[in-house]
Amino acid sequence: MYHWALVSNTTIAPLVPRLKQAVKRNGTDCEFFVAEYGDSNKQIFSPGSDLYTFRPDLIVLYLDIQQFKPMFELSVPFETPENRESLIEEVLGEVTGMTKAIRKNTPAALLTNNFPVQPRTVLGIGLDPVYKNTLRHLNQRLYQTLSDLQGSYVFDCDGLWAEVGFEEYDRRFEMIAQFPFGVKMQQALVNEWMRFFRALNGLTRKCIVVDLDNTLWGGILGEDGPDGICMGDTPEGRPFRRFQQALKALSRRGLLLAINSKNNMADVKSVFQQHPDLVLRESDFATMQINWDDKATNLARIARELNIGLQHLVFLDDNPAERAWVRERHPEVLVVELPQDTARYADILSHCETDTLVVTGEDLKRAQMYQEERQRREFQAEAPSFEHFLNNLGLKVGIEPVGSALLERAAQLCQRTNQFNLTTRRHTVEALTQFTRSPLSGVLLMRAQDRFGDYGWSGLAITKVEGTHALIDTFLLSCRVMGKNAEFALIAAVAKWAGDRGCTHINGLYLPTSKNLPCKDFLEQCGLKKITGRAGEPGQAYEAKLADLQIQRTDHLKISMNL
Amino acid sequence: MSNTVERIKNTIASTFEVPMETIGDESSSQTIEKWDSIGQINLVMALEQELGLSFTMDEIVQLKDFASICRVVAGKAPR
Repeated sequence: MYHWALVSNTTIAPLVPRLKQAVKRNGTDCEFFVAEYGDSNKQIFSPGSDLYTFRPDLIVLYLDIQQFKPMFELSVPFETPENRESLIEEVLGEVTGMTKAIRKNTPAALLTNNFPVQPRTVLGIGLDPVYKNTLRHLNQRLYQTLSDLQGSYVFDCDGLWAEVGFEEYDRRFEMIAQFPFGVKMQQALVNEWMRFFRALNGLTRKCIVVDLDNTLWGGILGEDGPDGICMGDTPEGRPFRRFQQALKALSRRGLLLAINSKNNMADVKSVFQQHPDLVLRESDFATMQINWDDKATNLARIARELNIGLQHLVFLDDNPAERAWVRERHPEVLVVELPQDTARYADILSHCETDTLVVTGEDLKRAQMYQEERQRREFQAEAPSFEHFLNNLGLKVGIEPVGSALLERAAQLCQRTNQFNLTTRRHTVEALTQFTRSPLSGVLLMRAQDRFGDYGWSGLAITKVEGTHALIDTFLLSCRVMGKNAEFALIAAVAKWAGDRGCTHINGLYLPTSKNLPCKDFLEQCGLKKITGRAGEPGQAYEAKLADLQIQRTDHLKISMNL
Repeated sequence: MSNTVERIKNTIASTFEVPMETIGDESSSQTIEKWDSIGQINLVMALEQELGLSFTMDEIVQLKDFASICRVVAGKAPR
């Protein structure tokens, strides 16, 4: 059960029904807690408050500038520059006071708004710039301050207003209960929060699958020929050029690209090799399904080949019949309604649920990693046996406690890993920091590389000491290193870590989800025995004496531990 | 008109989560617990969506009980 708190110095409760609907569409069970107005300060500043006993996973903090400075836009332009500066400091001080108190009392992810800048006030062109620049300056400072706080994010409320328009500012609701959001703005806020919610909970799409004819380029290759298709720097080509440029940028950011097209492979290959106007190249695609099979089948192949779930795919195709077919066969896939107008194709890419909270080194290297993975698969397919493949892979793993520089990557692993994840606990950066601060808990990160390349930081284990027992809170392996027995190196590191802290037993837990079947038997393979878990605790508990732990199948590995 | 009255009654009942049978002319912010200032916003949003109209501030302050809501709505959309 996900715990979502809404805290505001003004009215926020009318948004809850809309938020409930949105969360339900994502298939997540969620409980809500609301604190408004005067109550919000009490909830934020008392450590034992209802807000904290609610044990929130996510807190949305919505702050109205008018509550700090009434009639802000009508009074600020009359202040001296010095007074404006000190007003900024004052508001910043109040906000950071709140966010720091929240940070001290809960590891929940924190999402705070910036302040909306109205496009015009009654004071006119002579004074409006003073108001606007003061607020923009405040917003910049706010962004810096809140981004420095761990597990804290700012959502661009100002940008949302610009998008929906200030005619959505509901003066009536504002005058009744200081609730300025018209219906469109309410939905925009909920949608924006859901982007963070998805990114925090592994619900982000990882791969964009595109059709070719009239999607990636204009025209039909099979009919118009390589010279007849357009994607060049001309009016008819530019929509597709822009679309490709946007895809290229997303690929740089770590999103995978794939092709699903009814075409002849040889024709497409020659376009990729010879067409002068292509922005994307064959190497930009993690996989290509170019054949005459149905597109739903091809999507399943793409998911399998990339070792991700269908729920991680976005499918873009100009043909409504193909979209309807895929929707029917694979409801998990996000099938985007492409706009009628090709000029709008690229814009749709910002609505594909692909948000990540931060971009890590692994994100920037992902496209290359999947290239390496292709070579690895070819090598595996040619190997006479799985053992032969493993023994000749030259796999090296390194395991060490997480340092501050890698906390974001560690949190990202918690957020994104679904298959080999024993407990699927979505720890935030702040929660991970707390594990590292205590001498009785530790976070180990594993990186791996082999003859084909570097997998980056791709395994994580969190262990807590309770007396003579070491409890595995989290144990996960990124899908890209699955199937190489690297998990046995990580459990060996956990065992060593536990032994160094005087533990005699090791305890684990398997919490089944719809996706983590691949690690169901892992603890048993390591020699842990099923035991009855704690009362009320879901999942299957395991235990073994440290001495009885079976670290196996690691002969092919070169392991370095720096615990 | 009776159809509109039913829709108003329905909207009040679902907004404030009370049984429809309990809504009468005298139902107001005094008799329904959830009908506070935030309830008023929820009610206005629900009525506007259900009836496809938009209230002015003048009208909203008159929406104090079931009877007055019916009166205001009738004044806006005479049928």
